[in-house]
Amino acid sequence: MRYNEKELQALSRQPAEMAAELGMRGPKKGSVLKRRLVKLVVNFLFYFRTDEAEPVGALLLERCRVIREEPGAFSISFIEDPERKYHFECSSEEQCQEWMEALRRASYEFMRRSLVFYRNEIRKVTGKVCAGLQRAGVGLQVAEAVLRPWLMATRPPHRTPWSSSAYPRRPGSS
Amino acid sequence: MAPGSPPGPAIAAMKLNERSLAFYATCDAPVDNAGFLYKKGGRHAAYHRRWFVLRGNMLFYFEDAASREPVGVIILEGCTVELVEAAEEFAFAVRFAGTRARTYVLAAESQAAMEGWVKALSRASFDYLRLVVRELEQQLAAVRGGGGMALPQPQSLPSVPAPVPALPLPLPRRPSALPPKENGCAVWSTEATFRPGPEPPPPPPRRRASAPHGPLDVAPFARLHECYGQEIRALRGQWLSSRVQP
Repeated sequence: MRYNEKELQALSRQPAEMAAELGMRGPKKGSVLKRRLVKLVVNFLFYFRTDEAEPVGALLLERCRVIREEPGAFSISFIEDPERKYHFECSSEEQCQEWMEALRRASYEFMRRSLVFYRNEIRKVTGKVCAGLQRAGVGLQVAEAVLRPWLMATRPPHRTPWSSSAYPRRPGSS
Repeated sequence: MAPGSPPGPAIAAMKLNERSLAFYATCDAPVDNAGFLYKKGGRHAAYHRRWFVLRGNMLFYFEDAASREPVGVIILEGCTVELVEAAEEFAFAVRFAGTRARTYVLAAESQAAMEGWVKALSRASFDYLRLVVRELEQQLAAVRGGGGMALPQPQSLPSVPAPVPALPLPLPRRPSALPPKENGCAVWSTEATFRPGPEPPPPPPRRRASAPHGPLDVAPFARLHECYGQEIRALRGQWLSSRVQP
């Protein structure tokens, strides 16, 4: 499969969410543990020889599974072939835990689910806010005036190629 | 890997988990856009008609809609999307920064298709989605945190330019700089039955580096965040003073 390698290399030079020197072993049988600089950037995990500027390789982290192996170690495998594991060894339990959590959240699909989750939570709370203000004795008019732009923005949008600015659009509103 | 690379002391091509990538291309995860586009082979090459599938920050292209495996993929992180002057109608370009960076010239089959693709591609980066999620996370905290205070009114926000790069088309200026990622055919945006499980998902990962980086300009977001902060403080003040009973 062709891919834009130069851009991927450029991406590997961007500031990382996490970077550390870990022990790494490839999925092939008989692979040896090697020291690698491992760097998490968006949904890619890059790995470098410790003294080189260009990455040896990259793993796209979509549809992957991060599993605890022996203490201080974890593996990454992919849904379509769970036995094919990339093995990582950390210098401490804490580091291992940190990496596992970061890697589990480092997919585009996870971000999507977060978006939906926060959007729903905000909708739930804005419903409560309206009622809460009423109970607190604040005039209904005030509550409505303050919240109207927000309430309007959460209506379903027009289906036009370019959305009109008729409704004030809020980030995350549908 | 890179086809046709010369033998000898050349640096080995970068490894990539291509098999997983191919599976991701054809799996049942949400598709953000799909359709036929003409792709220019090279600077002086002809256009090839390919079936394109946008999923996340990956733009896959297939020989046709029924192909099992993609011909290739364009990783979209750090790109800008522009309209171009080309002999081909409905043409646009996916451009990357840096010397010797390739520009992908694509052409749609209608004006509507072109607009749909430009919109979808310019919001496709992981970075952009993460910004939107963080924005929502902060809004949720703001709405929950102050004892039921109201949200800032969008009309009073200064007009902040959208992070979408400037297009010759007259994009309406919106108060919000972060329009939601949505598309007429995106399955996930209509997802109503989200089951978060016993706990909410943990917050998105925080960047260690605080400085802006890459081609995405984070200044509008920072400014937006400050404006929200000011608005919230003002409204909170009003609300608190309105609670005081003589």
